[in-house]
Amino acid sequence: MKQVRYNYKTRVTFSDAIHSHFFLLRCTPQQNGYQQVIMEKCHVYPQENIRTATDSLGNKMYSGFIGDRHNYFEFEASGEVKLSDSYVLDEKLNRLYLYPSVYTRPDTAILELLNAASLNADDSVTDKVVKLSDALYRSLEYSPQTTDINTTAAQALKIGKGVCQDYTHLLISLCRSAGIAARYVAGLIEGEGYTHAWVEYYDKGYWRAIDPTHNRLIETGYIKLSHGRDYDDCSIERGVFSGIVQQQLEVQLTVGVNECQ
Amino acid sequence: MHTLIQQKEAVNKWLERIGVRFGVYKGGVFHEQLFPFDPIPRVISRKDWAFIEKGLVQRVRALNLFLADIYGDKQIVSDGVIPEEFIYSSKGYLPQCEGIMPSKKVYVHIAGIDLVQARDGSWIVLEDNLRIPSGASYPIIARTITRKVSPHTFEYNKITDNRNYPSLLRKTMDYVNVDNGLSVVLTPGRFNSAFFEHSFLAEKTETILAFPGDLVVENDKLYYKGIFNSRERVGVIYRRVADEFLDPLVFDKTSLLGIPNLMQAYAKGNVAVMNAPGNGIADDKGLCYFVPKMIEYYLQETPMLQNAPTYLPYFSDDRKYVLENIRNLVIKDVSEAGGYGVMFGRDMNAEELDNIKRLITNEPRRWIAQEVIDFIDLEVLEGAESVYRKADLRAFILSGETVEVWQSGLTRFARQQDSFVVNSSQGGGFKDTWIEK
Amino acid sequence: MGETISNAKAGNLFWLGRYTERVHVILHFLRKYRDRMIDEDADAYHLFCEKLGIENCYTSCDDFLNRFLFDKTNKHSLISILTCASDNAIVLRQEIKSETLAYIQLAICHIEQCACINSDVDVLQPVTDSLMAFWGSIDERIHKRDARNMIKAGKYLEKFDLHIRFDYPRERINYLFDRLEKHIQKEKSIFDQNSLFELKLATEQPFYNKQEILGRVDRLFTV
Repeated sequence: MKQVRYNYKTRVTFSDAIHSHFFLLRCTPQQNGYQQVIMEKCHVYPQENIRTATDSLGNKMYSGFIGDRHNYFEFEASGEVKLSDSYVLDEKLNRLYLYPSVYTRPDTAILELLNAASLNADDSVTDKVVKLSDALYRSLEYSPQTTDINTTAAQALKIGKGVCQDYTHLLISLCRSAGIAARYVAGLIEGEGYTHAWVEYYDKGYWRAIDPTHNRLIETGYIKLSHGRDYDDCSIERGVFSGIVQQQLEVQLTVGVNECQ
Repeated sequence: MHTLIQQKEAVNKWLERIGVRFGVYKGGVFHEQLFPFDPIPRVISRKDWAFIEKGLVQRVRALNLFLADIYGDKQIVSDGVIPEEFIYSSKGYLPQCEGIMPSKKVYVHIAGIDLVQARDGSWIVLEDNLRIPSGASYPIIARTITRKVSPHTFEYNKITDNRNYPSLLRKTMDYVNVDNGLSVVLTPGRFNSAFFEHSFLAEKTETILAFPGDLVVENDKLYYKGIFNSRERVGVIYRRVADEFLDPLVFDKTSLLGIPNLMQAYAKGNVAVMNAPGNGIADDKGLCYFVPKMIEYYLQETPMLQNAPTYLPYFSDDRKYVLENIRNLVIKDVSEAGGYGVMFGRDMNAEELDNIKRLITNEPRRWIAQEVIDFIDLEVLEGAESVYRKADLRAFILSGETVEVWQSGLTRFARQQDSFVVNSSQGGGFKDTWIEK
Repeated sequence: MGETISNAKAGNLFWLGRYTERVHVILHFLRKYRDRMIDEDADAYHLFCEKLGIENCYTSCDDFLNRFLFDKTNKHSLISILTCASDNAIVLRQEIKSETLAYIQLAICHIEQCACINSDVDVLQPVTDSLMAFWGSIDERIHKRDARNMIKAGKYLEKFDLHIRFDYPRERINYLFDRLEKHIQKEKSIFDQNSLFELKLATEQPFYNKQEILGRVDRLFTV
């Protein structure tokens, strides 16, 4: 059992003032069998009332509206989460996660990669996922700034480089093509300055997790914020506003761990 | 009817006067053109209509139950009537609508069902349009004008009035309206191809025509914005903006036509949205095949209206049949609409046939194949000459407290001989549809 | 139906009033100038352009008649102004009703037909007739008081502006100002009442400054 404190701050600066700004944040840890939220809060600047809601996939959201002109937007999420020693979620399967989504639609190259992983029919689900992750790890080089938030799994594989989002999309695509339900998870881990993404796969009644970027199964230490078909369902911040501007993004993340028991 | 034909010019003058236009984009430039009107009406007998009407009501009731089921428990899938792949891999299925119950449980407020009449006299469903079916305004106007220019025609022929469409529409809007708020028609804007219809229906239903910037969600409620930041609560929105552009925080984030947070207001039951978001799953071309099964499953009734005989390459038996008989079939891409992505096997050369066969083998779920129906041609005036052209009928069914079929419809015909494509976006024309009293 | 009018629609109503009245008044003035151009002063159109405040880009009387009336690429032409009126009307179908919109449609269809044949001012009488019918229809069919006022404010603002430009006698100007004032005062949310007061003072001067007045007229509408 681990108790983890996190503080996640994002500041977007606009080159000119914007107004009529609507935002939607998925920046709150989920309460589930693996992680227990002890305390959590979210502040938004310029200060506004925020409302909570839950999306159709079960993620908690904060939403709000800033009508007046402003030239920056900042939100700060912080809290404390108790993580158990094994990342296992007892949940009924939404069969949606068996089918391709916009970002994870397989192309021939992905299907070839699936073949190359040479899965055996009698492999356990976890064995299969590990094999797929290995095959992927050999085919994709970690390289920031070669892909962006719009890159699909197929495009990333073609480029041969990517970041956690691309690894995650590709592994999801491989799993679903192999008949294994898989979903995208956005969250936080220790020692990284940014948010992270990983894969949950469904194995006989339970979701388990694997981090394809580091090519390792996840036991604990990861704070889960949201899940969905792909990145699009899990964006931490989504907003629309009026104004023609350039945006600059600064992110600050600290995750501190207090081991307990 | 003879006098009606003689009055063709007078009718066109009136059409021009009312400003009946249909927008089209040619080479990226917006043009408005008249939707060509043919004065010879399509006449449907009382007996035929009574049958069609019952069949349509049955179909729409089943489709509405299907939508409530799909965005809820999905019994029809767990009972094995529809393979789950047809749901989850359909573009029309929107997980964002899961668990949302629309006001008064109505999903399909306005259905536009396209029918054709085969040579043996039977009526066959070509497709269901359950998102934003358009075209109802044209027959209303045609009737308004023809009654003016040729009153005697309507003394001799006993025809059911069709000018009550706006009041049927308003009744539906009122039924689902939340908290007795404002009724609004949302148009994507002046340069939408159906803008004329949006403004016309707003006028005739005495509702407000709103443009995207006029509506705002605050505290999970929808408001119409007035001068000086005044706000008026909206209870029902008849939106003519497609699902993917409806709420940029939930769907396409680049949409400028949408209303941020509309989906939250809708999910919390604070506004009725018609038609309901997510209806695309029920009018997916691949799902059409299953509608008769839905009727049996949800209503325990025998389907009255038949589909065009359809094959789903997804099923291996069907695939085999399609590949072997492709020359006699019409192939449709399930992801396309408006008459696009429709191919006739008999018009394709060997190379094209090989190509389509390969596509069908590789992506069976993307295609459907139908038998080419030998349907009745209708008489159309071309200059002074009368010619025969392919035509279909879009019937409009409105659901509120009851399910009602509008006693008319949009009869569209192909302008070219042997053409099967009747869509107005592809140059088709229209006729009034007379239902005998 | 609710009484709320959106900002955009308030703008459309105001501009619909202005553009239709602009066509109507200009046609009226033009008939007078056309008459002078027959045997009094063939170049009277120079003065016409000057008073109207548009560039005189015309090479002859015929060129003026042709391009000022029918040239769609000339933004000051009558056909262009009528198109602007129509663009505003088309989004107001439900406020002004199809029957009212029809008169704008008739006017525009007529001027478009005339544009195909080389013709003179006299063929545009049906445009004037349609516009008169349009104003009648506005009175008959618009039940929302604010909507009717906004169009009429636009109408009288344009009428006042043009009569100032063409140096109409004081009684006429005073009469038009009264009409304008009546509509502007009713729509405090979209018209600047201080500007109205200043405009009134400026108009009451024995020798008023034309440019000052035109400038103040432009500042009345605030949306």
